[in-house]
Amino acid sequence: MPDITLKAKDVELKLDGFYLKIDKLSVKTGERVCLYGPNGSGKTTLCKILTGFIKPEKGSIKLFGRSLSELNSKERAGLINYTCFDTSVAYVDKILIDFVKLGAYVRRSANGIESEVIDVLKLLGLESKKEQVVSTLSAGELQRAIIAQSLIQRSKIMIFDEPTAHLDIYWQHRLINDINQYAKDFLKTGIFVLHDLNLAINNFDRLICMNEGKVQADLELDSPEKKFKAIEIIGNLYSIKIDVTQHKRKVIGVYF
Amino acid sequence: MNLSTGRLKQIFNSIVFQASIAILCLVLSTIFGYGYVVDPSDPVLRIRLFRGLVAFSAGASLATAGVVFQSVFRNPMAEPYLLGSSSGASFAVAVLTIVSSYLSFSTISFYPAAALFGAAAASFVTLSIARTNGRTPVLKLLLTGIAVSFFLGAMTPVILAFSGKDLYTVFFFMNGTTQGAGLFEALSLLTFSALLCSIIAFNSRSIDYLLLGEERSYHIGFEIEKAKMFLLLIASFLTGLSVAFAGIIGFVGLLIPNLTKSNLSKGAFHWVSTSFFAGGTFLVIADFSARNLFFPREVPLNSITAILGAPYLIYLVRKNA
Repeated sequence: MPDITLKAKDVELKLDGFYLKIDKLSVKTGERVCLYGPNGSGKTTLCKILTGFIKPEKGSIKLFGRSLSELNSKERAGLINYTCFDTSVAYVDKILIDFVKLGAYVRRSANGIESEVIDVLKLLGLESKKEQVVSTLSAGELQRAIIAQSLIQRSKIMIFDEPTAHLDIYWQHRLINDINQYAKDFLKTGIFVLHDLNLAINNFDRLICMNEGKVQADLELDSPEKKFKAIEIIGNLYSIKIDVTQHKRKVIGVYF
Repeated sequence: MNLSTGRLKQIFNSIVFQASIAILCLVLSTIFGYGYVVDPSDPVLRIRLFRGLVAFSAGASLATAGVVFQSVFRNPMAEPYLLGSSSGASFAVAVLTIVSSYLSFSTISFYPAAALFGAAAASFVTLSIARTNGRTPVLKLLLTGIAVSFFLGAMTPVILAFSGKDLYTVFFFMNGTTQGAGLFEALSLLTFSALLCSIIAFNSRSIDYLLLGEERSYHIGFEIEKAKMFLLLIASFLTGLSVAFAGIIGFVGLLIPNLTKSNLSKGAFHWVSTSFFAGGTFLVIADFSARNLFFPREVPLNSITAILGAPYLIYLVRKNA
């Protein structure tokens, strides 16, 4: 397995009043990356370019050494998926267990999917709701259901766009930890778009800060010193003053 | 399809049940009604049966096509005439009446062919205009369909103004009728609609992914664009067939999928099969009413479906509010 799972080069995209340019971006196998930046900085657009849903005007994207454009739908979806919160998926109105199973479309064999779905639902605290119709779930529950659907897909690279947006504080932390654990168990690479500073600083190998369609900073987060440095850069990015403290192994930024 | 035996049995049972009701309604609508039937060899009986069969097939086709349209557009207001098939069919029939005024023979027997052609052509035009860069965004499709429908709808009376002949038949045709149904019409429509609706039912997985949403399905790896075009083509053909043999009948394709949507949680197959039988049965009843309510006068089917359907739709809306 090559060390680099995902590589983007000279990607350019112009939309009305928005210009995105990524000179170079690469993600290693098993790495967990957090994409961070202000609203409208191009995080979601970048994610969708990486999955091929949005076609850039220029540039190349390679997954495991293969160009994104030469992959067919199934191959692509086996390598990379993208998950964001979208209430309209509940329009399918299936019972939860069938809803989650829809994510297994690219899996070669359906053997054992049933029990795997139950495991994923347990992981995300939805086991008691498995027979419930998805349109009756709460926003936070639906969000976890969509994440469950993505986990069952077992793509090698998983992108989660604001996976904690509708979750309570318990689930915000639990979800990031659980997905990270799941990713570790199945040797997956994870890219997360997050806005919570402390979640972003303490749970990932790397932090990529974006601003105005460009990568502003690309930082490793493997030591408290580097986390301090990351918080300083984020403070500058938003022009806010962030006080930093250290609690056990976690680095915590506080801002008012 | 990945179904457990329990669910398979459930589906089978419900199909048997629904088919029985449909057949019962068909038989009753054949036996009863005005028309002086004394002995079983009376041709009136046969005509009633053929008309009932055409009504059933047309209703089943429209309802199943309605399921496809509501899934593609992810909207309970979507219906089978959205791509312009009904106005395309009327337009073609109107053109035919003009042609017939220059010919010495009647063109009534060519109405079905013209309607099918008109419906297919209008749908095809809408689909091709809306398609850009290999994708067919639903909103573009919707707006193009509206434009095509209105244009052809506006052209039809203009053309009819030059005709002067056959207007009663044309009027009836445009408002839905099973008049003129014979053995050929009944059997061919029933065969085609059963066949095409089965294709839709066995592609119920595509319906699941359409309902889930195009972007989500893309990321799951399902080829949504292909599935969408395939289902829309079959649904348009079904609509065209129903228009060809039974004229333009509103409300069935809109009402029935909403009525049966509660079956969706059991799977899209269930939604399709229930809509097929419910749509067919509904139109058998409507056709029976159209023939007998004001006997010896007959009213267009479209009026009956709307008079029966509109209040029910209002009830559904109020109930779910």
